[in-house]
Amino acid sequence: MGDAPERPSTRVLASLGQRAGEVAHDFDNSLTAIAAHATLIRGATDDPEVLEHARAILRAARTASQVVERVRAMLRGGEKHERVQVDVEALADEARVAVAARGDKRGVTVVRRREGHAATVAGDPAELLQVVVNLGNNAVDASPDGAEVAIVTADTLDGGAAIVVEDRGAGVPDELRERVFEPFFTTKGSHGTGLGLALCRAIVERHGGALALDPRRGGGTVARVALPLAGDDVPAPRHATSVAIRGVGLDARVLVVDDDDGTREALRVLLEAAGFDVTIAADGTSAVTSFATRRPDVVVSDLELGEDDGGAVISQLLAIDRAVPVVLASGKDAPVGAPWVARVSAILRKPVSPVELVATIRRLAAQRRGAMAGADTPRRESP
Amino acid sequence: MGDPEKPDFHAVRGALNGVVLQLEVIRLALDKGDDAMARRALAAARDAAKTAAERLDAAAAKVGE
Ligand SMILES: Nc1ncnc2c1ncn2[C@@H]1O[C@H](COP(=O)(O)OP(=O)(O)OP(=O)(O)O)[C@@H](O)[C@H]1O
Ligand SMILES: [Mg+2]
Repeated sequence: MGDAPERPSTRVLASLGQRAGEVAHDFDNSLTAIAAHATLIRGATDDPEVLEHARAILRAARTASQVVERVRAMLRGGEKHERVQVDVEALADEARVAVAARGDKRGVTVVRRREGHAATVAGDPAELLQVVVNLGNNAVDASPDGAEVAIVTADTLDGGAAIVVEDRGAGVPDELRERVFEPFFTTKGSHGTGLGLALCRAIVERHGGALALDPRRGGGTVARVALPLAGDDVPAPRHATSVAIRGVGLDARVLVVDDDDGTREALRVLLEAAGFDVTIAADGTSAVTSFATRRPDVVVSDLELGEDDGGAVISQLLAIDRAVPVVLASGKDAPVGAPWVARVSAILRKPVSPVELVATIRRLAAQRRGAMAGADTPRRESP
Repeated sequence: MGDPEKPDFHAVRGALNGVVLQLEVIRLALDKGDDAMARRALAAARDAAKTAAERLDAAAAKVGE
């Protein structure tokens, strides 16, 4: 396991490394422009055929920007990484919840089994969570409807910790066993980026571990992550809450609209720590401009925006994209009966608990992503 | 915005919201060992708390009248 001198994927990544940052940046800018225009087209037409094409462009642009994000994540290897104690059981539990959401749609159940001792490894909790979630998603994708996926924690032979993801799918053909780890190798066409396993392997190896995919007896695949246990010198995460705050941001873009400088900045810092890609706006005009160009997945807005009325701003955003989830943070009750209130996804009363805010955004982003991944975005009936 | 005659307790909540968020930022800064960030958030938390107190006083004064 893991002792091959240098895999092609590692070389490919190393050579990509140099200019990838700049390229990714330029690429992302172009994507933003493409998406912004597609959004405008979508808002400007009632022609179902044009709408359909505009949506297809948006989906493609979105997938492409996820690719950019994942390439970036993969290349972050050189940077300094946070290493804290990570409880393997808790990590697997949390991953199960995320993977189960994907399984739900197809009646695939995701179960947890504990076969080893409680173990603590040293690592970046968000990254390790991403690994298990990616492997779990692959397992769900490979599973027939109604099948079972298991996330198992176990001991390795050399005294380390293992997280194993088992499925009863078609398995990986022999000749593809190493190729599946290559960046951009996918058999899912436009539904996959082919970066999942490359990213997982890069992360696991950065953690001094190994990742292997093997056939499962009786059919299916066993993905096995082996990690060394944490040494005594590894610090515990200092606060339970901030671990809850941190985690996968689901690649989601969040637009924060708040007129108070301190609040806006605090929200940006906290949501970025939670893994979201955050844009901020202080008033209605910049919110609308930013919304049209950045296409956030979730909007968090204050109800009182100084001169502007938060409700009016939210109505404008919903006019651009009627399916965008909006989280309203408010010191008072939202005006009952205002037409936009019914379209707000969540209302959080101030003072807002940061943990609850993060959980709400994560849930909405996951739902939104699920809806966008479907062949058709649900269409609202015209009034 | 608010009715000038009525005490605005919502505004107090708004300021308290700022305090809660800054506390979380401080927690994050401590986690990261980022002293400068912690100090900035501390100052912001203090400001927000002061604003909350002022708004509370203003609201209380209106109740008293
Ligand atoms: N559990 C599995 N069973 C069968 N095939 C798998 C499994 N996991 C991965 N594969 C194969 O490996 C390929 C590459 O996986 P990888 O996670 O890198 O990308 P992807 O899943 O196609 O795309 P993405 O992860 O971006 O959605 C998949 O397209 C699939 O063919
Ligand atoms: Mg995958």
